[in-house]
Amino acid sequence: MTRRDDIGETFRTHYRRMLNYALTLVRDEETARDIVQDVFASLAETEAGSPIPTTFLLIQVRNRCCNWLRHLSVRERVERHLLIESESSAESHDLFSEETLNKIRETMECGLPPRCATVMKLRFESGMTYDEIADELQITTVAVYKHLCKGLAILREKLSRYGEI
Amino acid sequence: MEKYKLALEIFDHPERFSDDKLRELLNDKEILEVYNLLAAAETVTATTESKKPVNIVKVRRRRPVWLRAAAVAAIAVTSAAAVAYVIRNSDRGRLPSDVQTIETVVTDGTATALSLQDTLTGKTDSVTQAAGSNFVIFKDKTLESILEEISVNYGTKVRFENPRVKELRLFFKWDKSLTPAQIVAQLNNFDKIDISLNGDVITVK
Repeated sequence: MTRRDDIGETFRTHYRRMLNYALTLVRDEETARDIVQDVFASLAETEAGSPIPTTFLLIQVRNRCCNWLRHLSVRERVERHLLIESESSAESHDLFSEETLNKIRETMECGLPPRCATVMKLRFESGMTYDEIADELQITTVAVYKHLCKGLAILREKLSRYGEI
Repeated sequence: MEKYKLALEIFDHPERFSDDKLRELLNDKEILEVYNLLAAAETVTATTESKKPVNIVKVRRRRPVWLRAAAVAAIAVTSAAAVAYVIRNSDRGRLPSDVQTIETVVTDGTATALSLQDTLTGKTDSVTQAAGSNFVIFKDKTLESILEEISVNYGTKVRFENPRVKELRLFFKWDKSLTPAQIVAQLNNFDKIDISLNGDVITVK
């Protein structure tokens, strides 16, 4: 199999997954496409015959996303609700891996107490404000905050247990 | 919980903080972790729902022009929208659970044709929708009947290692322009289905 065949097969199999992962990190479709295309362009420079494992591809995507994010100011990153690297960490790439994002998704779907899960769902899926959630569930805004904080605490605890955070 | 509230405040109202203050607060490990969880929660929710992530800002990025004369390949990648319902007919004794459940799996909703040549030469992406006439919709058909029809079209054989899986009923939208490997990958998105393709044999475990 030639290098071109390898890249073609990789493209067919992994492009969508790589694009989705880049999108979760940079939250900009055009940038995500650019990044994934750059990864494939760099693959063309590698030697024929060497395998292209999925993990390698996703790490390449993540590294390039990190580089892109570094050029944004803290304010720009926060305003876009982007993940932020720790400045104090020795590890240069702290952003969540695809597996971690999947664990977060799983926990939000079936790993939270019912009321927490509902509040999280209304906040993130429906985009409701805290007042709207309070009205919807007939609870106080303070209670909404408490459920949200509890949900986040559970997520955080689960991820630290797995060493993901 | 005070730091959780701060993280929520930063996430919801960044305009209330100066740049320096943002930097200072996000240097706190706990606040940063909670903030990142909030960003991740919003992100995974957006992709689960197949919505575009919120707050997208178009950034014009100058793409380098990659001219790779040696690496020329035109590959069309399409992934068509497929929405499937798996209805577990537990009351017919086909599956162990005695609770009827409906699982909805929504796979990628966009159809994309992207030339690898375009990728390598840095041209603008071309995105096209898959032709509607290529679709066959199976409504509440068994996996066995779906695979029979698909395999006739591609000249492949089907082998079921688990006879019970034959009876799984699906709503499946089949894009005939996809390869057998792509169809198998789509069907493998469902939790209860484990299919592999070896040569011209589709094996269902």
